[in-house]
Amino acid sequence: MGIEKMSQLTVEGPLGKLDNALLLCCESRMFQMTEFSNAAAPQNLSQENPYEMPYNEMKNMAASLNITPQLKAYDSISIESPEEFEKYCNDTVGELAKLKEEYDEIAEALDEHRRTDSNLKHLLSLDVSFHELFNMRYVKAQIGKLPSVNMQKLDYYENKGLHFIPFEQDGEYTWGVYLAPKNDAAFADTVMNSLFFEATVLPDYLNADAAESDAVLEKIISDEEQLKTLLKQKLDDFTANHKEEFLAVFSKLKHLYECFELRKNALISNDRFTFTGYCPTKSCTKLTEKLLTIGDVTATEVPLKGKAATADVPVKLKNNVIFRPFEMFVKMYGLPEYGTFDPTPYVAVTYMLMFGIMFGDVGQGLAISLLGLIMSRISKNGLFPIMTRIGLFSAAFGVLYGSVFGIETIIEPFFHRENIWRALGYTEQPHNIFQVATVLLIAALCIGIVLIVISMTFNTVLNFRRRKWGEALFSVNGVCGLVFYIALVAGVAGMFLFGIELFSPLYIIAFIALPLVLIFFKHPLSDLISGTKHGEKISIGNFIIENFIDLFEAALSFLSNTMSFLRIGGFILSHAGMMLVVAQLAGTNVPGAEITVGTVITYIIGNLIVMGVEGLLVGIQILRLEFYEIFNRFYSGNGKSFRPVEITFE
Amino acid sequence: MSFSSNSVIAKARAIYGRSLKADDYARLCAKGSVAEAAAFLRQTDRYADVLSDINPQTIHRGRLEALIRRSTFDIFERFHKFDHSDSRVFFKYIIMELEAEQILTALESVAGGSADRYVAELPTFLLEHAETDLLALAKAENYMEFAHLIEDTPYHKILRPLLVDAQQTGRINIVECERRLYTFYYLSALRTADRTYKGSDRQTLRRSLLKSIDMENVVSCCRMKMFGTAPEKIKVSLLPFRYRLREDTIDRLIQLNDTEKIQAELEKYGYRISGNPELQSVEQLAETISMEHLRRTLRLSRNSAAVYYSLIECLKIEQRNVKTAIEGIRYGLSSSDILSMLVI
Repeated sequence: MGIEKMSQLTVEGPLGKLDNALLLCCESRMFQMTEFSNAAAPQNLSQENPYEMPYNEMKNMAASLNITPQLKAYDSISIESPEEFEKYCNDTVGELAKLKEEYDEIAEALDEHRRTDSNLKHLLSLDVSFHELFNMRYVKAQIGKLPSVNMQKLDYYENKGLHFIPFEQDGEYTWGVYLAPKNDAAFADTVMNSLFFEATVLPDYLNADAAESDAVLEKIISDEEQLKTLLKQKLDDFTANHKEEFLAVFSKLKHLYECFELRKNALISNDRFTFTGYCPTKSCTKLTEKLLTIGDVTATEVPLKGKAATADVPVKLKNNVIFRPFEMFVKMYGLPEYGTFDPTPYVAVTYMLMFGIMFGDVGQGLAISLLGLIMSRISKNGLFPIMTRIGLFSAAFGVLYGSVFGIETIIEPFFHRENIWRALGYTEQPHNIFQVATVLLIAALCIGIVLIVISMTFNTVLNFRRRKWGEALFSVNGVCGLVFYIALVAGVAGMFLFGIELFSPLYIIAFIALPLVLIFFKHPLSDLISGTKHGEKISIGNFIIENFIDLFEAALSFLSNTMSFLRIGGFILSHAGMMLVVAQLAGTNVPGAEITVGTVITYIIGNLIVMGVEGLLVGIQILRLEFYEIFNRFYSGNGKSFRPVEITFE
Repeated sequence: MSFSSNSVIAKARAIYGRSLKADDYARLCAKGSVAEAAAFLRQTDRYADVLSDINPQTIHRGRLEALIRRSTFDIFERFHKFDHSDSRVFFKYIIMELEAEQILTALESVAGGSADRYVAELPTFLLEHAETDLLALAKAENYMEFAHLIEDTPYHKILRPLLVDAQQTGRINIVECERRLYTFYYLSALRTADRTYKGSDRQTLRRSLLKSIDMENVVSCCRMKMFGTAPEKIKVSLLPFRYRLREDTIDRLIQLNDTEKIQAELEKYGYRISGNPELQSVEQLAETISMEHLRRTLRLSRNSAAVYYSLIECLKIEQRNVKTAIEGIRYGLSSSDILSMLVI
């Protein structure tokens, strides 16, 4: 578990074998290539990619044929050179283009006729033939549509020989014909144009009246539709016949195209190439062996030790099947740096535990788990496997709380056991969880304190390992912070819970004041230990103000971070409260209540709402606790993710 | 602050949130034709509703611009129905400003002898709200007929002397008509601000109105200078309200020719713009200065009237931007050239 060990792999060989070596690296999916740096090398291969043109053509072709590109085996494809690929494209495209052209032409004509027909439909009340209408000797007529709002403006033109006869109103437009004396036709056109009249132009063959013309047009449309369907069938047949071959050729071209792109990262000297990259150590041997089979190609592996590694080393997380889904949360915050510590198992354990505590219900937990299990088979969404795991914890805590879909009479809750409620300090048995609210809130605080202490311990240990003595010893999240926090918590807990007065003068000086003073002087003390000088010089006044504010903020953050964990207890109560509301709505909150169909339906709907709303809220709140209260204390998330070179259409 | 005020502020900000952003303008200006521009605008949240019925391929540029103008008006008409306080008061002024604009165009039509263009461009949405029968104005054949047609409106009193004079001389003083109409508009708005609001609310609103007047005066001043108007005449032709730009400043602005120098002069009076944009004209400078103030008011002010007024002005600037972009596309200007003319 943790971070995968990486090696640096340097591959060398004759220039002619470069593409083979790159192809092998891509196929291995285990090699991240280091990008070429100008300063480092004498020469690199940044030529124009000769496969680009056929590649783009095939991409367009795939789109025209509605083929989703996917990688296929291409061993049977003998095409190699860019020219051969272009020839393949031209031959196939030639045939396709002809079919497509025919199809597009008919589709365009059909669209045009449909548009004309839809315009014609608005003019059906016109019982004069279009031939007569458009060929009057003294009057110009034009059919079309006018924005309805401009109808009122037509009054102004009434005395100017312009008449508009409306036929039909359709939304924003009024359909009709305008008439004007032929001598004033230009004026009428200008006016109607300025009123945004959109003229309908009819084809010459539509010279009968509107109804008859409509019938003619409908016949034409019907014929064109049939032809379009026929051509579509031909296109589909063409696609079906060529799909497999096309995908194989495209896959090969894709490999060659991508490999050529990667050539830019190789360094060339004396007709020999070199490229470097990172590979998980465990896969290095396998990749090296494969590379050796090319002949004349050598691969040199240099394992990267954590402390010696540079910040550029990519990180690949390695966790077991239970914790792996929680890597998503760690990646969301930022990956750990190479050679440091992967917090995924810690996140997984704390997340599952807190979810179980906050959302404890046997029925709902199992339902969430089952839903997660089913959905993770269907979808790749990373939340579903997490749901499977947290649901089980929810069910486990549900057993403790005695809650099954909000019904608390099936299993006996833990606080109903006499030895437990007596141990918790109650003189009589609490009837419901609200009566043990104080205990729950104190327990929530205890969980928070434990998690904060663990996080600070992580930080201290990590800094000791990195030899950052100052940080490890004198920082707020180092030894001093730990001593201060534990001493304060112990003192307060002793005073309020156990009646023990720990705050003696010696205790305060040794465990509270001294750590604070050491934190205040962290920078000079760190410099003293490491023997280096800290950054810029600052005046004593500034030093006091800066460090005092830092210290004040740190003290406040201890308080606010601890209090933040109260939400764990809060959500237990909120969950119980919501289920109580469901019980009240269902009418089962009184002894001897009758179970009806309505009760069952109310319970089902109530449980679904609680699972949906509260489940989501609890999930988000825990993530907030993880990121703000826990990660903040020990984790920076500055690592870079491992991105192996691979060829994919995605 | 009342619930209604809060809701006006929230609604105004929500509407402003849907207005076009710099990225939208960049994409609009990159379009190759008016049809493409119309299709793009139809996809934006801001214009999707008003352009839903159009066919981008066949729409006339003028129709597109009219619909864009209408969409801005629709916003305030809806506001007017939704709110019964500030927007009611200011809706009157939106109408008043549009009405003044149309009266001026109608007067120009009388002078030109044909009202065809006036009728064609008259926004029909205004007809039911305006105090004047705007369509009837198209029928006026002389200035006295025009005076008669506006007899029952407040504009009669302020325009009558000029119309009588024009009837006698045959020439209408359009600049003076414009000055009188806009003076009446701003005076009414300022009086309403004084009557309706108190304390800091009144001050904030007055400040917004007076800043707009200052910028109007800067633009008028430079425009008249460009047309060779004498400095004395320029001064009396400006709106008779002064906020930060006093008489001596106006004198200095009249002497300046360069947009950069005018910008430097305005900066002395707190009219600054952030960044260092290359401005093409004084109009663009004035609108950019206004825009910064309006945006700030929209974002930060708790005064609903000032926020509402800022929204009106911001949307007016957006409307002009879209119009400029469409014209630029129509004339085949490059997207960078069009963008440089916009107020973003």
